[in-house]
Amino acid sequence: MSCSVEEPTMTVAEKRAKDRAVHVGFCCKCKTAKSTVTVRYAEYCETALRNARAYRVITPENVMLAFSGGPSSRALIHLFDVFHSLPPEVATNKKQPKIYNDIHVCHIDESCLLEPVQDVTSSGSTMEQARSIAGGYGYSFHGVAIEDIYDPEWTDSRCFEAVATLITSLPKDQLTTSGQAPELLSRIIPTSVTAASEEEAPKLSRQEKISKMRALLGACTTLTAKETVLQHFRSSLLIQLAKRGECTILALGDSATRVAIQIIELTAIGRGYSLPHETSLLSSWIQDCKVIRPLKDCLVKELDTFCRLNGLMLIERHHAQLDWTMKTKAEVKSIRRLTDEFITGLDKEFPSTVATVCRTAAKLTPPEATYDQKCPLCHGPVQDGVQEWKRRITVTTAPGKLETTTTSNSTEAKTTEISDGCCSSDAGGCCSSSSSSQRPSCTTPQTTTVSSTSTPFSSLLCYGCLTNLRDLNLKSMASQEDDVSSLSFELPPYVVETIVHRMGFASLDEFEHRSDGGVSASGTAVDPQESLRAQIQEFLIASDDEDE
Amino acid sequence: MPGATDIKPTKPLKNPCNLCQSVRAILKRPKTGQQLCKECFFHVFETEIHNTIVDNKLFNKGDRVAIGASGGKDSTVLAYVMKLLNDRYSYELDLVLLSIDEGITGYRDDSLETVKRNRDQYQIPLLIVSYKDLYGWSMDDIVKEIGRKNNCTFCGVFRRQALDRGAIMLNVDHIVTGHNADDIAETVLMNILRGDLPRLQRCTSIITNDTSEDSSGIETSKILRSKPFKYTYEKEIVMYAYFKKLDYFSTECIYSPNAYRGHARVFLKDLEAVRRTAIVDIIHSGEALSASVQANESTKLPTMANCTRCGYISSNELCKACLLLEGLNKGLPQLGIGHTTKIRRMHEASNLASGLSSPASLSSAVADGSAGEKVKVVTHIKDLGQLETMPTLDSMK
Repeated sequence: MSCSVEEPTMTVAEKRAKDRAVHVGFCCKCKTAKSTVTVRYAEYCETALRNARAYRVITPENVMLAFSGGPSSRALIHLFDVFHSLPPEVATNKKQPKIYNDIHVCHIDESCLLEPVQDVTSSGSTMEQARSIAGGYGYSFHGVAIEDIYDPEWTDSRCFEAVATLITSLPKDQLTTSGQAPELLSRIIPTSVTAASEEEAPKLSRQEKISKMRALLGACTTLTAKETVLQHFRSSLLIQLAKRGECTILALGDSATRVAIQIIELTAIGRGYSLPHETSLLSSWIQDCKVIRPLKDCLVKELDTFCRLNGLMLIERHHAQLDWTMKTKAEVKSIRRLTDEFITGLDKEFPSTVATVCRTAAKLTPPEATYDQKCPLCHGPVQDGVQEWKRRITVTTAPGKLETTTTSNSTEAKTTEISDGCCSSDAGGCCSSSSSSQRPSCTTPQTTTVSSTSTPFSSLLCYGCLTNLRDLNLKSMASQEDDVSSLSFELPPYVVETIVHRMGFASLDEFEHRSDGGVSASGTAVDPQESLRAQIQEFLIASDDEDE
Repeated sequence: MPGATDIKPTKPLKNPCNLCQSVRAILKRPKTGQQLCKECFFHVFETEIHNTIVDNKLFNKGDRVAIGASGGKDSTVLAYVMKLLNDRYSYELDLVLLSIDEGITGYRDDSLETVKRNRDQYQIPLLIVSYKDLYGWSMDDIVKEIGRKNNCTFCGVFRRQALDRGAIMLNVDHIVTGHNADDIAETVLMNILRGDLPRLQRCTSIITNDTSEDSSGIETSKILRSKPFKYTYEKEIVMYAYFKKLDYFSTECIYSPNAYRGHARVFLKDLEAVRRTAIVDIIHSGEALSASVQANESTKLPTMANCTRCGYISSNELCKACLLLEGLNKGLPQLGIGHTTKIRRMHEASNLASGLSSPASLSSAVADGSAGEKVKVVTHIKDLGQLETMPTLDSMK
């Protein structure tokens, strides 16, 4: 803004100056003291000006810096420190930077996934290193281990005592014969960690959590799926950490290179819908916690050099390496790694690649979706009708049913809508709606030990997670006929929490209460699914014979 | 196809088809990894295309539809499947084949022979439109003039227009092309890598139309274009052609392909090897992204107008094809390659200098270029309507 008073035309600023001219000679703030400074056509007294600085930061916010141990997030901490040690007038005068109220640093310890060693309690923990680095700056430190994702404490309600197992609606023998039929439907059975009757739940030991974690990763057949699931766990924990530290902002150390790789990777794994949220400079998708990526304009090489020149200490092995989980060398390829190689390689030949890709994504507008309808696994936005979309372009019905193919497909679409609508709104008894794609089978044998009513799962997922779960080893899942206790892996509590919420229940207690009521009131013989089936009976094609 | 499921084998099959369970599987489906028998593969392949056509409401009953046919695998399978589905599901479409002869010796002449055989095999009429006739230059001539670099620019720009012109000659409502899922996924990646948001938005739409919404007053072709193979894997097209023993031509174009696109292609194949649904996933992402672009006001497409010379749709005074052609005819082949702003300014300046003589000189140059008298040169889309001496369908047969 120009400061020349002799400007011939009347600018907005001048008009403002004219309005303020009422108090000529006096400070426009306190209107009592003589003015000593003129800033932007306004006259201030010294004290008013000095005090005004503080109001510049309208709502002082706490920020949580996510620190993995790598160069980018290490640079992030250092840069925050540098910026905050600047004299306030320098820091606040610039448009972009903002003074934060309190700075916290958090770290996720992934040492349990570094190697296949069984002795997980031994050294290799990165927590202390991270703590000392944060301590060096005087920032408060929060740490969590990646396996704590299985702790009921690390959920929104902070005590969500349920995990979930996945079952398929197809019997096992059909799974084996139909190969990797994409029609597979996963269903979830929330179970209390302890039996529902027991009041005092013994805490899970670290070893138990780790083995749960490994079981889940073991059930993923591809490295891509493992990495993606782990990434979802990481983000979930980071958000929880930020919320616990009473931070409204989570700052990630994603560099331009990283973001560019992410953009292509997310596209390749079918997450284009949530891509704008996952790569933007500022994302307000998550409720009560903004996510910022302040280093989005720096190349990873610049940050590397920055760390080296400043002699910043890094944590050597900080990132979970999942190579050991794969049996053969050939499998040690994931979409992320391929993308990494691709972008890095392309950037050598076409040096503007990273910048161009980042700029492309920066221009995208995030989709309009409601946060309440978030995907249970990744907490990202969910698009409607993705299962139906998939089904139409990848046909998996035998030619014998040629006539019914199209009709049954549209039937399934309707089923999806019904179950979706019912679950999003408040609806009792929908807890075991057959989630769309498969024929709702008539009987779900109730295993009596735990509350094992099955709940929709696939229909709640976003496209990316749906795709990712195709890589789960189906044989490790039980079908409806099997005993639930024989299951080999479980989904962590935060996933179950979202499922229960998406179904319209406020809490686990309410869910258990309702589903118990639904089942036990009329005995185990009546399946809530049956009532749902009755509602949609007219849309169903006679495919029952297959289910028997 | 029916009957495949009726036969119940007495003893369990060693490797039964995942779908019908009654016939031994002979192939592993690239899209899903399922093991299928031949009949089931044909069924899913055809049904998916049918679903794509129905869900996107590509055609109306009675539409006259041109199939862009190059003789390659995609368009050969497209022609076959279009005819098959048209009969099976009674689309009641009037199908014609439309080929563009770029004039590349050793490549296009051979592939056009394939198209001619297809014409006889499927009993679909065929029209061949050549660059030589339309522009006075064959690709061989162009390559001779400008060398091996950048000639794809000419070929691509000319082909797009030539297809439309051929379609006008055939009086069709719709052109279908054999672009497959791999092509679309690759284009999505390319447009992200290049930062081309408007194209990113357009590239996943199954129907494209040269008329933009606000151009009702502008004279353009009302011909729709669509890609029924949008969700069909390239590998499955090859597989289909193989098992149906379709007659197609499989040589690559002899003039070099785009290096940058090559990278994306290799990457896509790597992705597909790691996760076979990657191609469909990218298309899904692309569709989601294009919705995100739409909301952004800053990336609006340039307003469409008509080329002052040929009447073809263009965002500038002169369409790209005319610009390239002018360069060729003036012996300045680099004209119009790359950034065209400077060239366009030069063109305007020269127009002012030489009066308005250049349009006339162009058409004369084109006329000189076309050797035969029997073929009239079409330089203006308006001419096409009244054209009598143009090669008609019957004369081509």
